[in-house]
Amino acid sequence: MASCARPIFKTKKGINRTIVCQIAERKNEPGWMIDYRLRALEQFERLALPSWGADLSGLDEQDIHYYVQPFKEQHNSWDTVPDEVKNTFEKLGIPQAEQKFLAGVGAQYESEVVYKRLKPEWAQKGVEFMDMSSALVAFPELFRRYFGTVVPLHDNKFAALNSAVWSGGSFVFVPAGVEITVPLQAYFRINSISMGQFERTLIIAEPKARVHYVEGCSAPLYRKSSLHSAVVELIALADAHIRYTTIQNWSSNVYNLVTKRAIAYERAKIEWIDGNFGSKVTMKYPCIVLKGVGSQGQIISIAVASKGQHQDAGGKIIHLAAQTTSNIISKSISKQGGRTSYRGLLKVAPKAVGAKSKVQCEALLLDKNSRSDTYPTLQIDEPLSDIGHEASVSKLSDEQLFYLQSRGLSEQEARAMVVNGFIDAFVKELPMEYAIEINRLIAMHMEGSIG
Amino acid sequence: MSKLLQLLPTREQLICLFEQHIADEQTFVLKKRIMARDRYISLWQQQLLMNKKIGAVQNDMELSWSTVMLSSSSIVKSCIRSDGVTITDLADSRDEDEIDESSQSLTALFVQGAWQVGLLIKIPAGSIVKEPIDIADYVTISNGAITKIVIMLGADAQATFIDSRIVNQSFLASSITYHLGNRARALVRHECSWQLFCGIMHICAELAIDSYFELQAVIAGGQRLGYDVEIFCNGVRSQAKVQSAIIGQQKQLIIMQSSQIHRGAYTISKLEMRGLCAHGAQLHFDGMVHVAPSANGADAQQQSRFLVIGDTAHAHAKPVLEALTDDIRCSHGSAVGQLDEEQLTYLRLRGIAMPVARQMLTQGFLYEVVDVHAQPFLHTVIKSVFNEFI
Repeated sequence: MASCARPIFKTKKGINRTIVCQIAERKNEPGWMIDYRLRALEQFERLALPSWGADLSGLDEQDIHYYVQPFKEQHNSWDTVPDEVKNTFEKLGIPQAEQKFLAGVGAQYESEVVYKRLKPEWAQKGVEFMDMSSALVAFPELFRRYFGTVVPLHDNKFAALNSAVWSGGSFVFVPAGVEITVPLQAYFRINSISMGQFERTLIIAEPKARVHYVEGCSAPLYRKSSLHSAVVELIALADAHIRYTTIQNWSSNVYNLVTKRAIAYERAKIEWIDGNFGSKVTMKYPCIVLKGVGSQGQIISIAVASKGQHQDAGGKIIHLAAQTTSNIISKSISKQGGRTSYRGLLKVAPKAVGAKSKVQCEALLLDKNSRSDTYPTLQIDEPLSDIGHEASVSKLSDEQLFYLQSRGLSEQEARAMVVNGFIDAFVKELPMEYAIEINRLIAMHMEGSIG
Repeated sequence: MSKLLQLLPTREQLICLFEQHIADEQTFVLKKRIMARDRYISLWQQQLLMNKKIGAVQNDMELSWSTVMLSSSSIVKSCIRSDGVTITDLADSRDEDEIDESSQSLTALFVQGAWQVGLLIKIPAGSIVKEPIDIADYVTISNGAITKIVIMLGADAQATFIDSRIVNQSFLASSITYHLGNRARALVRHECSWQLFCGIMHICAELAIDSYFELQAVIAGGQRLGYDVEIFCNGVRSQAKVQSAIIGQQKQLIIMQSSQIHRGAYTISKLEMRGLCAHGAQLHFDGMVHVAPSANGADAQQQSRFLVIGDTAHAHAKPVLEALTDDIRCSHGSAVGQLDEEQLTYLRLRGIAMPVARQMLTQGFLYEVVDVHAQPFLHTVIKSVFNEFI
C-alpha cells in the first residue's frame, strides 16, 4: 500500500530534548505538561530495556520519527476527511460500523486523531469523547487530576517514552450514572515508514457509569520497523463498569510495546478483552489494580503468532482490598514457527481477605517448529484467599479431527472448527459484529494451516 | 555480600586440597571445581535479585569454608558391600563422566566448587539391590558440611535409597546426582527435618533410555532453606515421578525450585508439590517444565498446591512451562487455599475438637503425596506445627 499525502509536520528521526519540546510547542501545551514530558525523557534515558521477555534487539530507537502530523485539523464528518485517509478507513469498515452500531468513533492517522465524533444522544448526557490534546485544553483540571496517576512516568522504559512524546489517543469521561449501551470505538493506523505511534488513552467512569471502548489497529508492511508504544489508563470509580476491547492487527514489522493499567474502586468492574493477531513483537500485560472492596477484574486474551512473530502477552491482577474477585482466561495459538508466551502476575496483598482468583491458560501448537511458553507468577500474602492457576499446552487432537471428518467434514473444515471452538471463550465476549470480524481474521491468519 | 559467597573456597584453598590427591589423571577434577566456583560467582552477580533470598539462607551463621572444612569428617572409607555396591571417595574418581552433569542449579554449582565430602556410589549393571541404601550413614554432619554425592546405576540396575537428615543448628549444602543407565530403576525416599537449620540442597536425576526415577521428599523446617530438584529425561521413554511435601512454619523461608527437562521422545515426568505454610512462613515454589524440540510425545505434568494456616503466610509460586514442539501433553496447576470449612464442620459435628480436626485435614492433604513409610515422620512434623499453634 502506498503512503498517503505528505504530512504537514514531521519531527526528525531520533529522540532528544529538542524533539520533545518541539512536540509540546506544536501542541501549545501548558508548562506543567512540558515539564512532565522532559522528566519522562530523563526516565526513558535512565531506564534499561527489560532483560526478560521478547527480543527487542531489532528496535532502533534513533531510527524512528516520533511525531508525524498528517493534517492541520480534526474532522467530525467523514465527508470532510481527505479522500486518501477516508479510503483507508472505509476499507477497514470504520464509517459503516459507526452508522450501524457504535456510540462514537475516533480515528487516529499517524500521530494525530483525524476524525472524532460522538452521537448527540450521548453528548447530551454529558459523555465526553475527544482526543487527549483537546481534553487537555477543555478540561485542564480533570485532566491533570487523573493523567499519569495509574501509569506513572517512571513505570517502565516504554511508559516513560510514551509520557515524553505522547500524541493522539482518546479521552473518555462518563458522568455518574450514565450507562453507554453501545461501544465507543477508536481506530489507530500507522501509514508512514519508520514511524512511532504513541497514543495515550484515559478513560474515567464516574460512580455507577458504564462504558465499552473498542480499539483496533493496523499498518501497511514496510521493510523497516515501526514502533507502537501506547499507555492506557482506566479509572473506574465506585460501582462503575469499564470494558476495554482491543483487536490488535499490526503488520509484521511493528513492535507493539504497550502499558495498560486500570484501577477499580469499590464494587467497580474492569474487563480487558485483548486480541493480539499482528505485529512482529508484542509485549503487553493489561493490569487491573483492585483497590476498592468488592471490586472485580477480568482479563480475556487471545494471541496468534505466526512466522517471525513473538506474542509475549498476559495479564496482571493485584488484589489490594477485601472480597475482590478476578479471572484471567488466556488462549494462544502458535503456528509456522511463531512463539506465544503468557506472562502473568497474580498478587494478593496482606489484608485482601476473601480474595478469589482463577487463572486459566491454554495453548495450541499447530506444528513442530512453533513454541509456547507460560510464565505465571503467584504471590499470595493473605492466608484467607482462594487462588488457582492452571495451564496446558496441546496440539490439535487427532481424535477430534477424526470424529469431525467421519461426519463428512473435510480436514481443513474440521481443523478450522476445532480452532474456532478453542477461541470461543474470547469470541463470545465480543459484540456480534466483532465476533464475525474475528472469525474472519482467524480464518485469514490460519490460511494454509487450517484453511 | 552474601555469606554463601564467603563459604566458597579460594582457588588456592582448592589447589591445596588437591595436593593430597596428587595424580596427573585427577587434575580434571580440580579444573572442573575451579570452573564451577568461578561460574557460580559470575552467575551470582548476574542473577543478584533472585539470589538474594537464597543468599540469606546462611545469613545468621558465622561460617567460612575452612571452618566448615575442619569440622566435617572429610575422609571417605572406600568399601565394596556384599551386594556389589561400591562406595568410593569422589576425589579419587578417574572417570570424567562421573562428575559431569548438565545441571543449571546454582546450588549444584556451589557444591561442585566447594564440596569437602565427596562420595561416589556405584551400582553395577544388572544388579538388583534389595536392602535400601541409607545415604545418611555415609555422611556425617557436625557443625556444617558441604557434600557432593554421585550415584551411578548401571543398565538394568535397581535400588532404593533412603536419605534422611535430621540435624540441629547446622549448615548443610548438599548435592546428589543420580545417573540412571538404560532400564535402571531408582526409588528415593528423602526426609529432611532441620531445626534452627540453614541449608541448600540439590537433587538431580539424569535418565537414560527406559529408566525410571521416583523421588518422595518430606522437607520440614529450617530457618532458611533452598531445595532444588532437577529431572533430565534424556533417554527415550524415561519416566520420573517427584512428590514432595514441604512444611514451613514460624517465619521460616523455604524456596523450592524444580525443573523437568524433556529431551528424549515419549518421556514422562510428573511433579506434585504440596506445601503447608503455617504461622508466617514463606514458601516459594519455582517450577520449570521445558520440552525440547526433540521430545516428541512427551507428557509433563506439574502441580503445586499450598495450604495456608494462621494469620499471616506467604505462598509464592512461579510455575513456568516452555513447549518447543507440538506433539506433547503439558500441563501445570497451582492453587493456594485454606482448610475446607465444610470438612471442618463435618468433623466437628462428629465430636472432634477444632485443633484436632484441623490437624487431621492437614495430615490428609500432605499424606496424599507420600507413601506409608514416610507417614510416621510426617505425622511428627505436623504434630509439632499444631502444638506450636495451640
